[in-house]
Amino acid sequence: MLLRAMRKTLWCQPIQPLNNMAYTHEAGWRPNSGSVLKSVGSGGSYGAMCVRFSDASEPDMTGEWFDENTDFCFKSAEIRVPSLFHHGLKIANGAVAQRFADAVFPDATITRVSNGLFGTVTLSPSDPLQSAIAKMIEAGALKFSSGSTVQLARRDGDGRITRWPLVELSLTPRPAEPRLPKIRPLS
Amino acid sequence: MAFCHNSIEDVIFRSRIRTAADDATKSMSFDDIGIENFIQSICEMADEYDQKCAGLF
Repeated sequence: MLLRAMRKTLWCQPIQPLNNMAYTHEAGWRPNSGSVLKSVGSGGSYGAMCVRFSDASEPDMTGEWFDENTDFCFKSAEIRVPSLFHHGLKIANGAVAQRFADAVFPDATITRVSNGLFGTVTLSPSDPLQSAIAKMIEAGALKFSSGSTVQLARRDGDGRITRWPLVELSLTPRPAEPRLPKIRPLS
Repeated sequence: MAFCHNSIEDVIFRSRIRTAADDATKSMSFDDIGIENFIQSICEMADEYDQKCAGLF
């Protein structure tokens, strides 16, 4: 009886065919149970510019800058690198700060755009540290900061970074380039 | 924007830490590790940095 009732409920759901491949419910459709999707915390996809092209007149806080000719050693249209919090450095005292410094977060995706590089990271709401990072982003506290290594990076004497193969992308409240925009949720 | 690690091994080593760190956090409650306080301090840190940098550019 129950099975028959369930079948009847399912069969009664209005379904509109779409391109013979998928379907979409009519506007105002609600699941039968009346339940809602469970939310376990902040999370989702977030993005922002992570490298800003400039010149000698606009160096970052360390006196360096990237420009259009900087070699980021992209082997494809986009690259994926691990994401860290504040370059894996302990930003404050305490065990929690150490935990964030030691954590490696999900890979970030980096693509080149006309005025720099754009980074995207997806954070899980079910992971306490990732959810905390998401909350910081949603509070407007974090920007991206790219990281490379000494044996890969090259600089001119005047501060222009000529080669910068990214090995990680950090989320930090104190980037060397403060003119970068805040990381924001991507819809 | 530009941060240079001492070596690429540093990054690789950290990736090995990930599993252990994830396991450790899952066994602790949200309040136990004081994350909410940390979030608040990072937000304050960001505000201070923004104000400091606003006068430079």
